[in-house]
Amino acid sequence: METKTSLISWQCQVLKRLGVRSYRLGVFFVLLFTGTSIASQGSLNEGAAKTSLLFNFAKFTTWPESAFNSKNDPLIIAVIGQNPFGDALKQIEGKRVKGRQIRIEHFATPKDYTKSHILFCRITSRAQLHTLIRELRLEENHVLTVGDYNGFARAGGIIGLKFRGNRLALEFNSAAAKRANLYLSEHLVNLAETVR
Amino acid sequence: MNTSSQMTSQCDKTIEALFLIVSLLIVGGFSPPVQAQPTPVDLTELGLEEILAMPIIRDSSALEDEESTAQSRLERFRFGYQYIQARFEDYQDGTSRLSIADVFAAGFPVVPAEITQEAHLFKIGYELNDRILLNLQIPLIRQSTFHYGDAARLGAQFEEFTIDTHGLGDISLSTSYIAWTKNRHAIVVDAGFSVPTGSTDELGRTPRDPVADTLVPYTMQLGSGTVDFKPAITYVGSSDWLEWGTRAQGTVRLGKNSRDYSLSNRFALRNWVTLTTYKTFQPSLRLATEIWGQIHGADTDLFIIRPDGSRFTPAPVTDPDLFGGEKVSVGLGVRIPFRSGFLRGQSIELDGSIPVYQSLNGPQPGEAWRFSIAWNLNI
Repeated sequence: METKTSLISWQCQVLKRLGVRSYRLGVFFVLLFTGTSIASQGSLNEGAAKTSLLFNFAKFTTWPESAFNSKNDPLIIAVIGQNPFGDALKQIEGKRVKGRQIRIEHFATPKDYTKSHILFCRITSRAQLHTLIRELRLEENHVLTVGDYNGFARAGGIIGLKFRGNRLALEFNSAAAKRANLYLSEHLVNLAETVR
Repeated sequence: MNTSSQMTSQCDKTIEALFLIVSLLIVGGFSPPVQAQPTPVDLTELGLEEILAMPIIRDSSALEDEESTAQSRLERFRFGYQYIQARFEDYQDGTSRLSIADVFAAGFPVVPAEITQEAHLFKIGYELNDRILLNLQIPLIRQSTFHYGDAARLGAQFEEFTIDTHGLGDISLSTSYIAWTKNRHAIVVDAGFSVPTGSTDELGRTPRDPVADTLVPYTMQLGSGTVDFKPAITYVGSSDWLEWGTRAQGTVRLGKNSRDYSLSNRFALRNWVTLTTYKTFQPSLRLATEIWGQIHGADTDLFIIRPDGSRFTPAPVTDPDLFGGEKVSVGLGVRIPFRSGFLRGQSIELDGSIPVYQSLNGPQPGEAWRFSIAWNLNI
């Protein structure tokens, strides 16, 4: 008698549990698809992401002819301050953009930074940035200044990188780009927030 | 609890445990932990949209940036303090020097002989962006005037006497806008106002009433009593070893104050050159020209009414017509910026000047000298 009751009870519970299982299956599939969705996007280290952005900036920026001495001149990328790229920067060294080889330079004196075409500025104060921009004499030297300092583009840099949540976003100072006589493609400009 | 429900409970737990294990295995197998490992990619093949859409694993230096971000917001603030002292003493009428006796002889029974003005200026600036700076300046003023009096007319009590006033001056608010820059040249336009927070009702013991305080002259009041418009335009240039500039500024009084007068408008042109060869000791030379006029209207409480009903001004500084003139001053200064250590971001400036030319509506006490010391801090 006890066994019979147990069996009926078990069958009833199985039916009930089917409903429960359906709910849990739903959760399971949500987890499964959410997981695969995130996985398909991948993720990047900060250094790699910024390196890749620099490479893209090189692709989508046009320098005046006077920025290069000859057709074979390399496109020089330099960093001022602490290097935020780790080893990632080496991955783009030697690659070609618009027929020019990318060269990563580590200059000894601030005056030499005017030789770069893209200058990543790891500065720590607005005063430092203002001094740097003044010394770069952008009208003459056509340097694309990029920085991850808060308000970099608003303070006179050309492209600022900032975090929105865990994603990178761009700020663009069109007046500064114009001063440096650089043309940034619409594709790049449209992805950035124009701050000036 | 009966046997049936016990079984159900055990069954539930078993199924839940199995569900959890299978779910974690399957979901875990399909989706690697997003924040733990970056996806290996060719950095030259990623498009802009892809990079901007990707979650980024921030490194430790980025966390430091959060702190520097907060720091950078603070760096937009500028704080400053300046102490100025100016002395006025020798009388002039036009460019001619007058002695104290000459002023007595002109019919004034009271002659202010030494006027000392001190100002403590507290300044706060905020960089709204790279071109606009907002400024607030709060002055605390102390003034002291030593007088000689005609004892025969005023009594021995007022043969020599001093009047002091002190308190809040006119607070000013201004905006500086970098209107133009090219290479090492810039033009800055300023627009500002001062509000009449300084008193125009200061009292002191004067010969007009030996037992009660009465209104002190215009020069001893702490404010203008009017809202004043203060425009300015500045050109600054620099080379590797020099900085130079010129600044034209005006003070335009808007209307009359509650005592029915307004101080005159003022115009000043300042030129300077600073040697910047040494980063920590930068001497400068300055040439300044200033033009100002007479007081418009008059504070009738400063007049003495004669028995015949006519008005009489007992001292030159109570006569609104005896204000105004032109002045050219030469100054020397030094700026000491601190670029490292705990004083980093701060600077000290010392400045002293003397007039080399004064033409005054006199008799009027001329400026003898002035000096200032300033401390500036960019946080």
